[in-house]
Amino acid sequence: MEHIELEKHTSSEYNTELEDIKNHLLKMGGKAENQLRMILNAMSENSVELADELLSQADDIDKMEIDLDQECTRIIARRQPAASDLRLIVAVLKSITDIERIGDETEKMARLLKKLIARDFRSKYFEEIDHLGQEVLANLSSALNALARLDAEQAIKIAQRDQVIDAHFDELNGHLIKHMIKDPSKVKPYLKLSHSAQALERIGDHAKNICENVIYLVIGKDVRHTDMDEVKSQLFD
Amino acid sequence: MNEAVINNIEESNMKVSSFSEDEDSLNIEYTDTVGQPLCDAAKFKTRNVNVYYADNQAIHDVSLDIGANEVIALIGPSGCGKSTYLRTLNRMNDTIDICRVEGQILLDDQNIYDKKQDPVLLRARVGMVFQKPNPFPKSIYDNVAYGPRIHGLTRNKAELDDLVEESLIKAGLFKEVKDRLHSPGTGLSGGQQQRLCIARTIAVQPEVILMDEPASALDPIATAKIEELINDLKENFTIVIVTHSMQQAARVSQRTAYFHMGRLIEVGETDQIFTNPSHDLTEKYITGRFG
Repeated sequence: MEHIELEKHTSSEYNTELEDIKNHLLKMGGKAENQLRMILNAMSENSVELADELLSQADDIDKMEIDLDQECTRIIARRQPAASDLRLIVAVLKSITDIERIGDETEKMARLLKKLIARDFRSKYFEEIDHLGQEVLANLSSALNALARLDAEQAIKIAQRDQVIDAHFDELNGHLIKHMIKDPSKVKPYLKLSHSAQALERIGDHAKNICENVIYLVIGKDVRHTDMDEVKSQLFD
Repeated sequence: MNEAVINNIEESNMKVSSFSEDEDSLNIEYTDTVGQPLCDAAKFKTRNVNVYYADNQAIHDVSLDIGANEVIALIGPSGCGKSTYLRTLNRMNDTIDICRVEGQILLDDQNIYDKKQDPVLLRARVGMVFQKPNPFPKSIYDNVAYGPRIHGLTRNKAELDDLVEESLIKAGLFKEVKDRLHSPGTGLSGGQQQRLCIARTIAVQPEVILMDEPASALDPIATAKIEELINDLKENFTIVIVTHSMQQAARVSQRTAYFHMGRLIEVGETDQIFTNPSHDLTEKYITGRFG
């Protein structure tokens, strides 16, 4: 079923419930996207205030996760969803876990940044991390767009781009490790930079997971642990 | 029976005729049956079945296999033809004067509409359980013993006793009624009466059991017992069940066939039908977008 309609149930209340969970999921995704944007700004502006602001909002995503979990459980219990409705619930339940973890990664980055600022540490690699972060942010935004539009073809393209992010991270991390070896006195701050880069790479993975959930929802195929080029050629070429 | 015709149909990749109809609420182009209407080790082979009530066509060109020892659920909105199709499988439609059946319906490759086929013997091989429990106004024992007696399945009282007990055990009812076998069957609860009807059906040792909404008049506990029973019975019988409850179809069957306006729209593994149906109409029905 490549054409997904959330509406048109005999029960209009059911239509509303499904629309609501999709909209709440997108809102939660938007929140995580915003937190990622905030931490990237905080890093480039060296701003403790922005990092603190992010940390002060951290509970919002957790609360949204619990609310959405409860709403999905309620729909399963009351409606016994089937077919695309069932896949929507499964995709939402999986995606909220990914989005919550994206929130956690941005919080981790905020705490790392505060420690680096407290040590008055700056490095040219802040800029490199920002480049990686912008790539991840673009992928996350696109993944959420694919979810909003239920666009499986777009989701595959975005999932394929995760390889670029992984390669970028490996290269950046390699440089950071070299610096740690060269100047052991700065292992701690460079390790914090490495952990920040790793957090971005993980966010990229979560964005990819969201894309896989979109593909499952729209096409009905579980494409996890499958080469995306192969998935693309099987489904669309 | 014409093997050549069947082979031709199979070779032509199950081309059930395409059709297109207007329906106010559903502007969907109908297509051939999608999925896997044929299966290996078929108990029933039905090909190009058309059923008419006088000039009204109730079933259009349905071709479907029913595998041995499988539970297949027939689902679809009211009036879609699923019960009519079910009733063609043991010629229950013969009892309706204006009903006419075309096409081929083969049980173990024998045409059940052959003139030489005795419908009473056919119905001993293909038993039926109805929506509303309908025990005879006789004792529990006599309800179960009725079929074996008229078909002469046992030689003496001891054999008949064993067969009655065995049938009641298979129907999951023996423990509840063993001390009152000679009480009226109509004195049992609705769920027990339905299991008594199942015991009565299996007492004549059928090969196939047709069930037409067997739990729709029962409470959830009695329904669960019938569903558990269906699961046990598939070891020995082929079961075709018509149900309005999609959750029931999802729980008890291995394959599901979706009917719509007399056409067989889609057939597939039950897991696939309920998680990722291929046809828009199936999707719309099982998600409650019409029906």
